[in-house]
Amino acid sequence: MDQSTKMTKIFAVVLFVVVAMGSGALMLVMRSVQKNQEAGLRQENQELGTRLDEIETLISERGEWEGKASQFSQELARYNLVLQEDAPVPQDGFSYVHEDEYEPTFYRDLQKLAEYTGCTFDLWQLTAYAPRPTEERPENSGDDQASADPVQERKWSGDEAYLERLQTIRQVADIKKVDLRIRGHMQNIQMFIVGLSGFEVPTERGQPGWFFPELVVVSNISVRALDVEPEFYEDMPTDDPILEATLNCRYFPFQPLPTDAEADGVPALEPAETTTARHDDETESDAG
Amino acid sequence: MLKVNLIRQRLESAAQKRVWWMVSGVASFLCLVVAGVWIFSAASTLGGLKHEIQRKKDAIATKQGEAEEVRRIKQRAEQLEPLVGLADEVQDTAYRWGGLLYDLNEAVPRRSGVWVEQIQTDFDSSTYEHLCTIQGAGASQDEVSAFERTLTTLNYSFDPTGVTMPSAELQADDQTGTQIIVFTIEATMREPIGVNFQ
Repeated sequence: MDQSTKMTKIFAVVLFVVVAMGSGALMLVMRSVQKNQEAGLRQENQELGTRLDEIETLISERGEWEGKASQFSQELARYNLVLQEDAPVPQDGFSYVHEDEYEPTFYRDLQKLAEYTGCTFDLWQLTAYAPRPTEERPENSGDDQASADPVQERKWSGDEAYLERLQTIRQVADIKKVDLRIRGHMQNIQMFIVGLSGFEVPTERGQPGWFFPELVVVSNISVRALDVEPEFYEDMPTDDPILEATLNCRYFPFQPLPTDAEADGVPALEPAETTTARHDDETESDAG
Repeated sequence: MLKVNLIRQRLESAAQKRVWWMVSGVASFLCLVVAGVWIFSAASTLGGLKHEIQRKKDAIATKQGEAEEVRRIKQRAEQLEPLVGLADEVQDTAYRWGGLLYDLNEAVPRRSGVWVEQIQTDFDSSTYEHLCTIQGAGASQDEVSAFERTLTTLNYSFDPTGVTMPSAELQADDQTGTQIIVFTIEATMREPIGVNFQ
């Protein structure tokens, strides 16, 4: 083999090696670049996929949430939802009351309820609610001990359920104590009690009913028959006397929207004199 | 002869050179082709991913508005749900009070013929019993006894085994000049009413 052939052979091999190494190097560089980019793109793709899935799931639940929101709105539209004092009133169909005008509204609503249910209403006392005393279940209370004392077990279970419910309620509403004193026939008192808790109260014949716009529940009742002069009865059936009912109630003003407010620190109010109260006092003094 | 050999050698050398160049060229070309195919494939993969990402971005952009609206609706519903739960519990409690008063007002006095003068309910948190104390009067022991029996049949309101009469006293009615039985009955309710509101 002559010199030039050798040189040609060497050049040919060098050319191949250079091209092969160049291609290899290019592939390695590209591989590295692709790996980096692909990892980033795959992650982005996955995140976008998750987000898109969430969006599509959310959109597919539109009917369900619209139905719930509409149902809840209808159920709550009759209640006063409390706003922060300076918060603008949202135009969403709910009834809102600012914090600073809340209690006077409550009192006016009670008067209105008494009027619609045919009762006279002569006392209200709003005080802070103190939770009832509870007993904690001892850690070492075994099944044997629990089954041996069902009353104790009932107390522990009841206290646990009560504290849990109290916590849930306080997430959405304040809790206050209200004592009310009303007078009327049993039927009027019944209507007042159910009206307090949000049931529709008839107003006048042919007119739409009215809903008490606060949330109040009776926790205990004391009812006594009043002695009134016979002429007061007139056409009244003798088995339907005038009753005086004292209602121990819990009152749940909803927490201020949109932000929560302190639940405690509610000042106690003195019983206020009202038209109905004056009327009732006059009746009593006349009778006496 | 020498000249012929020289020419043949040159031809052979030229042929060898062509072969080497051809082999090297083909091999190099193949290397380039492999590299090209690989790069194209990698680029296609990345391009496909980018296309997929763009498609998802477009889809998100299209649906974002509707999703925001649904999210607001959902947030509102979730905010209102516990309020509705509380309102339902309150109404259920009111319904039970209504039932108790209905029982006492409608069923008891008209059926038994005694009259009720005072009703008082008390919840005992140590035993979780809700007690209803009824004070009333009747014209005869039979009527008072029948009244007590009637209370035990009010399955909705009272525990039939929890009705007791701690006191009953014969008193003279000053207004009518007749005698009446003044009694106190304690009736334990079947379940405490509004146990979470006590």
